[in-house]
Amino acid sequence: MISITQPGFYTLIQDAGRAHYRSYGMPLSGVLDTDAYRLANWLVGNTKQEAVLEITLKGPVLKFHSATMIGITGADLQPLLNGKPVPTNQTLSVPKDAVLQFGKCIKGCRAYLAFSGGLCLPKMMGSTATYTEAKVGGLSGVPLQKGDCIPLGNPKAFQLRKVPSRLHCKATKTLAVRVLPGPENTLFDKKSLVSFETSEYKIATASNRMGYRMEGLALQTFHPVNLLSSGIVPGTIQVPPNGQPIVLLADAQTTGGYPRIANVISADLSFLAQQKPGDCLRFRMVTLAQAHDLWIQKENMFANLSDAD
Amino acid sequence: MIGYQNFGDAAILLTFGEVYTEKVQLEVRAWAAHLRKVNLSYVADLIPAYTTLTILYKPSEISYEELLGVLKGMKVEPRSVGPERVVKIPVCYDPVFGIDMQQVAAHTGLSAAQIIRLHTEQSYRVSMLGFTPGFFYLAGMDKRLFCPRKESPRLRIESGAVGIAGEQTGVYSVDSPGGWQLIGKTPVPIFDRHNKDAHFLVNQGDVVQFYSIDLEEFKNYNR
Repeated sequence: MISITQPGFYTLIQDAGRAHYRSYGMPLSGVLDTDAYRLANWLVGNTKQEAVLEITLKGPVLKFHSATMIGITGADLQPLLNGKPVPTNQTLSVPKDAVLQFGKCIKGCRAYLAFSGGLCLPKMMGSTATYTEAKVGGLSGVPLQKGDCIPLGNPKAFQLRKVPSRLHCKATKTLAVRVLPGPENTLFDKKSLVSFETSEYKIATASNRMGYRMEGLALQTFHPVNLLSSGIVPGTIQVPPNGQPIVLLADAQTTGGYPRIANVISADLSFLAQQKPGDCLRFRMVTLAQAHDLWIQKENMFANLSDAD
Repeated sequence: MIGYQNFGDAAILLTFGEVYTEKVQLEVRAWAAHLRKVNLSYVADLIPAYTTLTILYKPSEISYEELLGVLKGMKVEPRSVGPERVVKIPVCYDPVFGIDMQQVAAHTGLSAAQIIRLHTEQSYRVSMLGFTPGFFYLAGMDKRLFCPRKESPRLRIESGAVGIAGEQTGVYSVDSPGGWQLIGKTPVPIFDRHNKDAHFLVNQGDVVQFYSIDLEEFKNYNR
């Protein structure tokens, strides 16, 4: 079991999300950085997509009531185990009664903490992912609170592992994000499409797990459009009437009525998750074939990771 | 004619018509029902909406072109959808819950009793789900009830609140901010996080009917 001494800024129980309920208006939810999530579980020998803690910007203080193995990936929040700095991106052995805490966020936005054997939690709609808007998942649908206790699974036997540095968090002040044209892309005027592809957009403070609100050159359609609500998928970039694009993320509503100018490719969603408010994005168009190649490259990288062990 | 568009690198967007009609809606539902039935391993999820169906797929298992080929080869008859389900939802229109009834009355020129009668007389088609878990969009509200949203949205509206916004009526499925004019409340959960067998009260294509209950019945509803 672990107990939460301090919850940190925004610490959520997350997993791969609820994949089969979007017909009912239930968002996918789940981790924002799926790469870091998979790597964290890999570090601790979890073969299934076990629940982890998604830690945003300021880490929690937690106590281990039994010995186990953990892995921390994603953002570098300067973890300390019993007061001593410990590395991220490698398996860590944790003795009973140890205290894990975090320092300053020096890179990225979200860290992932996985436990060997996972967390023992009831699933709702096939997932333990916390979706705060509907108070679903996690412990009671809210971020971790002081005093919360979470039972741990039985630690697995495995070799200690290390994430290759090429797969470490790549957060940067300005990130180039690859996109595909969205369903309503052709409704935007030429000037807007040029602005979208050539200028920088800043991630606004009012961003959250539903979406990143962007600030930059305003985007407009040729004519005012009145669309019927239609599907939204992770990475959809919609443009409300104020012309400032919103990049939709895992907790986004399943449908929306604003024109969809573009869609971030799957391979880049994890990079996006590590950008924080104040950071910038540049959008670069690629082709569907390129997007799929990048996806396959990434899948192969993960597959080889497992084989090498 | 069905329109096919790639939508990101892991979804395909099917468009069945430019405007919402019962026929277009039937096609959306028939396609969603068919895809659920054939249960293709490479289909990750579906988002049926007013006139479109978003099909999320796994590019690791099938290419866009192959999927397009499979979909174009599918024969889906709009009549293959099962019998329609009628969901009757009790609503307490008492002023305790109908906190904007006066405003709706002022805008429409109707009395509260007339508003309740018009609201409960109608059968509404569930055209899609979205916005929040279990929230359903209803088509077919009586024109006399059309009423603009509130000037400034409320920060928190309790789940179960029944409202009117423009040409739409509906029920808040979870506690959330919102700008609808509230005319009542249902004691029945629209989204029930604890009911494993039925998290969601209605499905796309269902017919919803509201019926009026008084405050006493509302209070006793779940006892």
